[in-house]
Amino acid sequence: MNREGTLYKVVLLGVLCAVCGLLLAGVNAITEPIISEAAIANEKANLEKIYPGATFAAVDYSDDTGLVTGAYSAEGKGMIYKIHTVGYNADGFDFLLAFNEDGSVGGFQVLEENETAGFGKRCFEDDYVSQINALTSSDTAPLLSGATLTSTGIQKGFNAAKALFEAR
Amino acid sequence: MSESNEKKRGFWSEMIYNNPVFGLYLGICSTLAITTTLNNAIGMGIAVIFVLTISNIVISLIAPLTPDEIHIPVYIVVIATLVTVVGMLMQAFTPELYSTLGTFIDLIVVNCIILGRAEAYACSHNVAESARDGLMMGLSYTFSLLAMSLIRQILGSGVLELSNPMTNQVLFSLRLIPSGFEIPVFTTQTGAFLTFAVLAAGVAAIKNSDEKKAAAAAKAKADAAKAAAKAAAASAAKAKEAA
Repeated sequence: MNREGTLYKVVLLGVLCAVCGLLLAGVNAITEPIISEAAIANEKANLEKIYPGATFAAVDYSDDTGLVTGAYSAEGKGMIYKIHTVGYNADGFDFLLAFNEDGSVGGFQVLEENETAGFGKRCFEDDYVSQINALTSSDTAPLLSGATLTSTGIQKGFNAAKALFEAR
Repeated sequence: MSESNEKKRGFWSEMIYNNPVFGLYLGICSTLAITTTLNNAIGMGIAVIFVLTISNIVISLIAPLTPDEIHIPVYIVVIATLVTVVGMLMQAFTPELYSTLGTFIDLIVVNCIILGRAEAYACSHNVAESARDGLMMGLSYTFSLLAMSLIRQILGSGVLELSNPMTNQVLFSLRLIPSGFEIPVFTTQTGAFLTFAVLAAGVAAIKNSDEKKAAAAAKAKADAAKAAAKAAAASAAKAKEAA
């Protein structure tokens, strides 16, 4: 084949790219499971609180609201979404919201919050948590009188998570 | 500097004369950005040594097959593949280091040292010479990173610390400057530029003094040769006169 010809150059670049692609695929096959394991390692203890003993995997997602900070699948059980939203405290708060495979809420677990005791904090007490746990992915999270800002934050996070759950 | 002269130089001398950062001013961007800690310097150094050595070997092997018109894309494909491999391995086995070094791992692709050595050396030398060049350049770059990071970490935080990049466990931590007497500016980009300028000036001073010595020795040799020629001419003239 003529070394200065276009065909030679095309074939050379094609072969090189194919070899490089194979090499990358091989390395990816080795590293991918380790990387996804590490991605959920920090979160695993929290995820276990919702679906104990499940096998978790980080899931790619595209959230337009910017409230969802993580999405994890629990094999055979459902999906868990990590949400960061803002209530009364400007720093906001983080919680996990799970949907079972059938669309019902599988769990609501607050991770970090600094809301006002007696007001916003009521959103993380048993009464409100049991209301959330009784919802499905077609419902909307209820607002709580006296904790309007915090429950609105939860409602926004709930809506963002359910949109992702419905779109998966 | 001729290649034969370069070959005569020892390891440490080569670290200075051929130092890509302080001698040739290549790869400065990543050097300034990541030399805040010893860990970053070692991690980045190992990544660059790996990419530089393997890319030099591969490029010296495929250079005879590569037409001039497509040599840059071919080299870039090779280098980008190696950098992606390093990135994946670091993300899997040293995630903390990977997140600290961030985009600078991916930016090794466009590090002037890698493409510079591929163009200037690997494409026209055999595999063994190219591998040696890649290794020496990589070590030299790592040496620069270590020098920068040692100064910046000690002056900026007062502590010399090294941790295991895989487990993030601190291997040793030594406070060299009492708390409250650190100079935090050294952890910023201003400190990076200051440290770089001082070290580059030091390397230039060493090179200049060596060049002056070499010039003085050459001049002395030329003077001696001139004097000998004069003496020979004088004795020849005397002999002629006597005849």
